[in-house]
Amino acid sequence: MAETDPTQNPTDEQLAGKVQDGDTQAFNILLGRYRQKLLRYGNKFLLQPGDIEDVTQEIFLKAYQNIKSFDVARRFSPWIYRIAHNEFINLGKKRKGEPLDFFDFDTFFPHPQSPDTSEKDMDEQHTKAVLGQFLDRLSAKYREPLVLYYIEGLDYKDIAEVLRVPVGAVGVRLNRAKKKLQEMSLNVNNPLK
Amino acid sequence: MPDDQQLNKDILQKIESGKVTMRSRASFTWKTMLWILALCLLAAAVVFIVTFVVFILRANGNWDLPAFGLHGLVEFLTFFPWLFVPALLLFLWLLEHFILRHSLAYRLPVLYSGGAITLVVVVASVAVLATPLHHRLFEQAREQQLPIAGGIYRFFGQSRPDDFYVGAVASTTASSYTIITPDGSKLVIAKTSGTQIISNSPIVSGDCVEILADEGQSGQLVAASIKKTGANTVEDCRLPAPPKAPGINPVIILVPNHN
Repeated sequence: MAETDPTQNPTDEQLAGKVQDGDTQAFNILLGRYRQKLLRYGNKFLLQPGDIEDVTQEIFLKAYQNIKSFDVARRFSPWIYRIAHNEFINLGKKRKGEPLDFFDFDTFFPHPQSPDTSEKDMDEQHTKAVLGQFLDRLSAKYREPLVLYYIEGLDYKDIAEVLRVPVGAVGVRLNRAKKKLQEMSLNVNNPLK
Repeated sequence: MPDDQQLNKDILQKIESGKVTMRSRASFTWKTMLWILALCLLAAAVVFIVTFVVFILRANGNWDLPAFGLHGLVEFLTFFPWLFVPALLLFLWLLEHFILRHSLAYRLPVLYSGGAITLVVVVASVAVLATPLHHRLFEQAREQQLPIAGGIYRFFGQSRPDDFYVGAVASTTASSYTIITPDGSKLVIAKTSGTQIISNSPIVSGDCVEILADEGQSGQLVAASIKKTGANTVEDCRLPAPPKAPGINPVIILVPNHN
């Protein structure tokens, strides 16, 4: 099988390497790839996404400033999502009424690591369906991994890198978040229950 | 032009105009070195506080107070240098906070990184307590040669309950002990049938003892409990025996006399 020509469709990491060497055009391609993703992430993660565009611009500028700290042997998406996470958290802290309390005992103790492939099952469609309906009712601690997993398509390991928590804690948060979504969905469908 | 294209344009314009520049690799290397330095300083601070507290408790004799039962335990807790606990917790929290910046740490449960920190602190503290560091600092403090920290060593090193006495037994009778305290004064403490003796062997002259004593009706001190310690001299009654400096042995050189 012929290898894909990296000049035709370079990976994020290859582009990041070029940016490190001063290639601004490569950064433009990364902008194109991540602009919509980061805007969507911010819009879904924060309850009042008023200044998301300004913050997204700030995320890209910080990514450019710090690009030489990026290790091209690692994945680029968790790296830029981590910058975005920090910027959105800072934005949330500036605003009143955006509770972003991430203190979590789940990060204290080891948890059995459930494989994230278990999500590729039938209830994934259902979870995605109710996500849009009830996402804003969940706390940020549960909202964020849901957005990163179901909407942004990151795997457990990448989410753990973005949130800087053990992979087991990501599984715990996602399972709890799904359970809460299910409860909300059942309450809406059976209001007398 | 759509808003998202405008976003790209704005970003690139800031980059190309030089308003936003890339940080050099060296700046990240410096940042890592500062992080390592901060970790080392915090770890050193934690170990110093832990070893200082242990040393002080042993130096003033309060370390043995819990062996005197409930009364001793209450006094131990009363005279424990609690002042250092918030400082210790703060440094430990900062240490954990700094360590969690590294991927090796944040990928693991806090229990593991906390356990690793505890293990390192315990091992390092045992190692530091095996050196004469605090003994020397305490001696310098007593000789007024240790600025700033000297007062802290003197204050906590001599802080013990009013009814707690440490000294070397000068003589014993059927009804009293005479002890020489670390400051050289002589103290006669009565013993009664109710005096609790915490020792496997009889207390004799030359033994170093710790005594919890109450003031009797006549004003004389009456020993409630007496405990023999491992030390043999008045100096040792006050200070735990300093360890020998490793690798330093006296060497005698014989020089032939050709005269």
